[in-house]
Amino acid sequence: MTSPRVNVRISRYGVHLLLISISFLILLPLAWAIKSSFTPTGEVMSSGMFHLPSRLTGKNYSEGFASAPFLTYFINSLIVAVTVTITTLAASLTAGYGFAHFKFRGKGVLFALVLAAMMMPFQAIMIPLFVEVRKLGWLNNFAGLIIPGAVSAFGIFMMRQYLRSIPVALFEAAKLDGASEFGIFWRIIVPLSAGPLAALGSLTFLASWNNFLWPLIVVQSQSLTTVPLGLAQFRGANSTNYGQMLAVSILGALPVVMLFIVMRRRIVASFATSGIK
Amino acid sequence: MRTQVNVTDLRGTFPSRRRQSKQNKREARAGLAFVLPAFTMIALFVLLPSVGAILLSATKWYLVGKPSFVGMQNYNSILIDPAFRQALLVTFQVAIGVAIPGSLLALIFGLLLIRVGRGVSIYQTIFYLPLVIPSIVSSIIWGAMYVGNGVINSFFGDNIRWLANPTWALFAILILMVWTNVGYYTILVYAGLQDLPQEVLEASSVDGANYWQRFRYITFPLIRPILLFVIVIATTDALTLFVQPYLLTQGGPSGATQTLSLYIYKTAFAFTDIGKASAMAVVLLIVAISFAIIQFRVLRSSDD
Repeated sequence: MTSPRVNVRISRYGVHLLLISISFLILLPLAWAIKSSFTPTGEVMSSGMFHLPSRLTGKNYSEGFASAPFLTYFINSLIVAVTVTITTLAASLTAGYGFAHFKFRGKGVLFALVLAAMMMPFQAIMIPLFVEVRKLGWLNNFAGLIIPGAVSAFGIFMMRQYLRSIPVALFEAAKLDGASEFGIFWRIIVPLSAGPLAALGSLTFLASWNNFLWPLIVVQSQSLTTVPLGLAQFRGANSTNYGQMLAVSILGALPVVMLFIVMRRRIVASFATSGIK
Repeated sequence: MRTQVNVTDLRGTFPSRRRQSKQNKREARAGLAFVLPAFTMIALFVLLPSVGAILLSATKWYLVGKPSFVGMQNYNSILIDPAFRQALLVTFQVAIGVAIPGSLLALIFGLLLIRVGRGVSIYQTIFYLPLVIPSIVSSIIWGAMYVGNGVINSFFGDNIRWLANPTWALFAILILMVWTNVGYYTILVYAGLQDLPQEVLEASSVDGANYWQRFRYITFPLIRPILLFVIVIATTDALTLFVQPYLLTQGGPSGATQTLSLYIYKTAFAFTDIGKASAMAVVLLIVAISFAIIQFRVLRSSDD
């Protein structure tokens, strides 16, 4: 009678062993990059995957960060990502609420258009968007970097799906008590949506911080360069300075990695259910 | 089809028709006020450009002067452009080359994860990390590992010219893409496995079905929609793949890693051939929307 139970227990250890090996393989490139970022830069290529360098150094970080205006890049990325996150949250919640709980003529058409917008890959519309932004005089300034991405069709869809699951009775009662539409939105909808907003906010910040293609198209000066753009330029200018290149790359990834670790549960859950990253 | 929020029940409680229609109007106005600001932004910066892509694809324009109407000429020219055909082929190769190993690995990882009770979130976090870090950063890291005298060659004692040989360069991009996305696919499979009726699985094991039989006849048919979903997502990813080949190979050597997105970018912003690039963008738009619709259908059918 005890044999099957023993069987299960052994295989459970086996499962963990396999998963730990897989995790190890997935983390290996990152671990190598971190190790190499503390390795004297001439030594990065000559020391193997699992070899420790002759000495550890923080020089790659200090010299790499100082060799290009990375502080400006970080500030620019932060300005763009924070602004885009705030506008996306506001727009997604208001429009999501409007689509979920109001009846008006043309709602079906508008929502279908939002769905269509959600399906359009950025690469398919980047050329006319560039032409439009150029015409508006927004090339090479924050307006061009921020405004075209300030509202997300996916965000609207996500919040609409969430708000539809909230029972109407919750705020119809408040409406009968004479609360204004805005009052209901502010005092009932906003607090109820804190969880999904946190997930959407994290995803938006991540996507904005990591965005490369749009800044590549609209940014033409160093004063407006964002972190991913700055990293690509740094690599172009210092193609063999691996120690510094990896050090500044790790710095560039740090904000989103930390955000992910703090918010991981919400992010993973919302990915799994929405099926959209 | 769509289940709209049912406010009509409530409206019966209002006494007069006039008040009811007044109420309706107020509701409609409030609804529009909530929706329109965000919708206007979507219209201006997503919908309008998508129409713009179609219009521009019927013109010849190099960003100076005025675009001149040329009808279908750009479509004719991309059809006979070998680089466009190669870009389509590369995109297809990336889709298949990521979808097949990606979904198989995700299936294995998912089946392992589902047997873990505590600690599953630690694995999920680790599996997910490659997708979270900026793609420019992961490309820089893998680029440094792929170098001729780099760690990958020295570890395996090889001398592969990873990014300089057409076949290996494509392979290098594929490895990077599988590494990046496998955690995401795994989480999708895992979420699907969690929805499986555990009673059926338990009953079958009591009935003497072994692990393989349970997998073949019960688990696999139930998660087939998820695997299809993964394949569709991998294809969409391939269609929009840009950063990794842009940074690592610039599409080379001899176009071996030039995806459709990269070729569109180069045609538009390096050669400023706006008309031709827009025609290719329209092709991308049509294929991507078709796949997005399939994705929606699959998601919906697996919900039922």
